[in-house]
Amino acid sequence: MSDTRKPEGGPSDGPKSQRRLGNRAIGERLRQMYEGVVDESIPDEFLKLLEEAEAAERSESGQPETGAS
Amino acid sequence: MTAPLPLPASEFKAALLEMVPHLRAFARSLCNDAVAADDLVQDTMLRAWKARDSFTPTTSFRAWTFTILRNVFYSEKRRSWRSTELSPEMAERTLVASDDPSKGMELVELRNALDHLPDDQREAIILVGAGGMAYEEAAQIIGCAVGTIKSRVSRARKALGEMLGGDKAPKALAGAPAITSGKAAFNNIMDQVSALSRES
Repeated sequence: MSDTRKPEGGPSDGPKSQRRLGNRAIGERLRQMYEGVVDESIPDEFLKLLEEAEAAERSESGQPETGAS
Repeated sequence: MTAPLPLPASEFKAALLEMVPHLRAFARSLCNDAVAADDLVQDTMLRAWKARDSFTPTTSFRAWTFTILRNVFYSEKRRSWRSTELSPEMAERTLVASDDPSKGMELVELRNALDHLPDDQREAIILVGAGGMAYEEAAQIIGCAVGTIKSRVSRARKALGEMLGGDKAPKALAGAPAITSGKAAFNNIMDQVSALSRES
């Protein structure tokens, strides 16, 4: 899903300045930041939120739970 | 009704729950405050739930939900959620989440560097660089041309590279005295990062 892009590239890629952090290292850190959150366990409140929304709809429409029609 | 077939509610709910970790990661990359980020995700979930009939499985569910999250983030006063400075709470959370302290510090540095990017570059690099999205999907979420995303990502990478690549940053940190608390680490990093961003 991620890979129509090249991991690195572009004309700006040369190690012109030794002080620059390379694209690969930046990419790794960005992924770590993101994946670190993805891997966290999800607090129950997220599930509860949807259940409540669902329950509210049901009681509004006065319908008991119905499956696919 | 003339709408194309939406997902049955139960499937939609399952798909939405499955997306929660990604929504949280996206939100937390956007606003440097874990509580505000989760709040943003919950708001997004409720909106998505209410709008579920407008989702058709021909589009990417991730792109659809991320678009909602982004709209919520940029609407109203939510923009102020992204503080100009990384909150100590977020920095500490980031540090604690990592079992390797130097890795944790790298991430705090990264979050701080992201703060210094213009909004359009930040969101582009978050989606493509952090979220691993194809340029096309990111373009769909942001609502701009693929070429625009590419150039924003490229500029963001360059800017981050400059902000993070200073001789001082990671190296000085690696040799720094043992970090005993998130707060100490945070202050240490903030000093170094702000020195760096002044230089550039």
